[in-house]
Amino acid sequence: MAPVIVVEFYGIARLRSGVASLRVTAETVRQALDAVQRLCPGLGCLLGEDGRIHSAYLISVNGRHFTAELSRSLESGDHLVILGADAGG
Amino acid sequence: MHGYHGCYLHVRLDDAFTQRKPLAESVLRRFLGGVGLGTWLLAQESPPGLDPFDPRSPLIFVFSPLVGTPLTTSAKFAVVAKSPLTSRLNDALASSHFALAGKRAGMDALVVTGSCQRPSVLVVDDEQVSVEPAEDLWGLTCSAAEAALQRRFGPRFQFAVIGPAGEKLVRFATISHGTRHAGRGGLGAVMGAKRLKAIAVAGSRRVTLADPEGVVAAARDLSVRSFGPATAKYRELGTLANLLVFNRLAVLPTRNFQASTFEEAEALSVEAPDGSRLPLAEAPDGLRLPLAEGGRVRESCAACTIGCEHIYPSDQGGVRLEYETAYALGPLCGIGDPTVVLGAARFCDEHGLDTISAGATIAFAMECAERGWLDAPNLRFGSGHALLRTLEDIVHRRGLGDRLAEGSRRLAEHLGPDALAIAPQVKGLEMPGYEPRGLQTMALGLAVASRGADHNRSGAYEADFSPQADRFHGSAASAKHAIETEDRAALLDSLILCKFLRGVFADLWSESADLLRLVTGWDVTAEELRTTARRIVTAKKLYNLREGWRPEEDTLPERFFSEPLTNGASAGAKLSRDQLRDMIRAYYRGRAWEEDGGVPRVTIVSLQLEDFPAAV
Repeated sequence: MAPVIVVEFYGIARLRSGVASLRVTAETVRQALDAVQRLCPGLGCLLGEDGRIHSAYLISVNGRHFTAELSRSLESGDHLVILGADAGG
Repeated sequence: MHGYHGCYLHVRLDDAFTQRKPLAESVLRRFLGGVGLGTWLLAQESPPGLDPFDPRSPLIFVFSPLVGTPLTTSAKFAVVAKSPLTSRLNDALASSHFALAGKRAGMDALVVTGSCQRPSVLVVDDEQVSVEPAEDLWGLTCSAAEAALQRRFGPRFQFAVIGPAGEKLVRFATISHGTRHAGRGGLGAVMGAKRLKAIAVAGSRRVTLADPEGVVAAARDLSVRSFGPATAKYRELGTLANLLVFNRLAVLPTRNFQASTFEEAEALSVEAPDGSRLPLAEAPDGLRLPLAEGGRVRESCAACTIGCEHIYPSDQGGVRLEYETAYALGPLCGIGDPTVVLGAARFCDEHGLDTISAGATIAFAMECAERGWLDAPNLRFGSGHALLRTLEDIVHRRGLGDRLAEGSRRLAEHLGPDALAIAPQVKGLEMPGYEPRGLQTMALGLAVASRGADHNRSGAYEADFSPQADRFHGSAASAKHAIETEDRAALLDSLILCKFLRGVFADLWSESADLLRLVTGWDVTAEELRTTARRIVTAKKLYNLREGWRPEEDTLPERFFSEPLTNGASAGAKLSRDQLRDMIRAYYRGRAWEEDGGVPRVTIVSLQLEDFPAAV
C-alpha cells in the first residue's frame, strides 16, 4: 500500500491551491507532486518544461532540507512542504 | 555624461555654506550611485574617527543613474553615514518621490555636514539652497511633520523627515519619506544631532539618457516581467508571508532567540488556513482580513509595478506591516495579538523608530528582566502593554527607555558579559528575523556584513532556502553563496533597483549591464559590474577598517554557539564557533582579503581602489 503523505502549502502555494494541507498517497516526490497537481489545478505547473521542480516553487521534506530530487522516496507520515521560491525578504 | 548630473551638493549647516562639487566620471563608473557612491562620499567627506553625532560627521543622501528613468522600482535613494549604533558604515535605502525630486534638483548626492543652532529644515530648490527655521515642527510625528511641510512648501516639494525618536537621538531612529523609512542603523539620530527636522527638495532639471528609446523599451519589458511569478509573493501577500514559512521551518526567532517557533504565529499570519479570501465585512479581527478581495489596501512606491506594500487596517488608521516588523514586535517579544503588533508598528513608523532594533532591544530587555538582571517587573514576554509602554519610554527617553534608546549592545555592556552573550546584535545592529542556527549560510552573512546583522546587504539565506546548501551544516563552501548574494545586493543598491525585482532577471549581471549601457552610454559589461560590486563591498570594509574595525566584530552572539535549537523542524540544529570561523576564513579568501579580514594592497589595486579615500 502506497504511503500516505501530508502536503502542506505556504504563501503563494496556499493561495493558489486554496488549502493549507491535504493528504495524498505517493511513493516519491514526483508522485506526490503529480497527485497535488490533479487535486489543485490552481497551483499551475509544479514541474517546469525541463521536467524539474518549477522555479516558482520550493519543496522540502518534513521542513528540514529542500530537495530537487523528484525520485526521492517518501514514507508514510512524511510531510511535503510546498512554498514559493521567493522565501525571504 | 548621461544619467548623471556629474556633481553633488555639499551643505554646511553651521553657516549655510553650499557648494556644488564635481563628480568625476571615473568615480561614478566605479561606484555607480546609491550605496556605492555613498560609500565613496562618506570616506571622502569624513575625517577619520569622528563620532557620528559630531557636527562634522556627514549625512549623505545619494541618488543613482537609474533614478528618474521609467525603469520599474528605480525611484529609490540611499542614505549613508557613520552609524551611532555601530560606529561603522551605515547605509539604508528608502523609496519614492523624494528620490525623483532630489535628482531633479540637479545633484547626484546631497552631503550635509555641520549642525543648526535651532530646529531647521534644509530646502533645496534647484539652485536655491536655504536653511529655514522649523521649531514649529519639532516634536511632530513623521506624518504630521510631512503634512505641515507640504502645506508650507506646496506640492512641488518632497520631504525626508525625522520623528521624535530622531530628535531625541535614539540610536535606532529612522529617516522617513511618505511613511517609508531609511530604517536601519540610526540615520535619523544623525539627522537629529544636526537639529535638522527635515530636508525639502524640488527641482526641474533632468539628466539626458544615452538611448532614450532603448530605455523605454527596456522599461516596458521589465514592467511586464515584474508581474510574473518571481514577484507574486510581494504583490499578493507581502513579505508578511514569510512568517508562517519561517515558523514551519523553525527559523522564526522567538522570545529573544530562545526558541525558533512561535505557538501564536497563525494569529499574525496573512494567510487564512483554508487559503480562502474572506470578504472584509466577514473577516474576523486580526491580520487575515487583508487577504479579502478589496479588503486590503495595496500601495506602491513611485515608478514601481510590483506594489509590495500591504496596508492593514487598525483602529488608528492604516499600518504597513512587513515580515521584519511583525517578527520583531511579535514573536521576538512573545506577542501574538495582531492588534498590539499593528499598534506597535504604527507607533514606530510615526515616531521614526527602526522596528527591528526597537523590537529586538525590547525583547532582549524582557529576557534580562525575566532573568532578574533588570529591575523591570512588568517587562515580560507576551505583554503587549509592556511593549507599547516601553516604545513610548524609548522615544521620550523616560526611565529605562533612556537606556534602551542606546540599543541592545550598549544595554548589554552595562549589564555585563552574561547579558552580552544573549544580546541579539552583530556589531551593535540588532538581528533581523533569520535564525542563524537553522540558516547557517545566513549565519555567515549576518556575521560579516559591513553594517552589522543584516538581511538586506546579505541574501545568504537564499542558499539555505534551496537544495544548494545544507542549512544545518554551514561550511567553507557556504562562503561562495554569501559572497554572491552580497555582491548582488551591492549592485542593486547602487544602481538602484529594488531587491524584490531580483528574481525577475534571468542573469542579473548582464541585464544590469544592458540597462546601465542604455542609460549612461558606457560600454559596461557583466564582468565589469561583478568587479564593481566586489569593489563596493571592499570599499565598505576599508572604511570600517579606517574607523577601527577589529576581526572579533565578525561573529555572532555567544548564545548561538552554546544553545542548540530544540523545537520544530530545526530541532538539534547547532552552530559552533570553529565552524563559523572556518566559514569566515573562506569568505575572506573569497574576497581576496587577508586571513584576519584586512585588505591587502594587491586587492586594493586589482579593484581600482588605490585612490579610495580610506585606502590611501
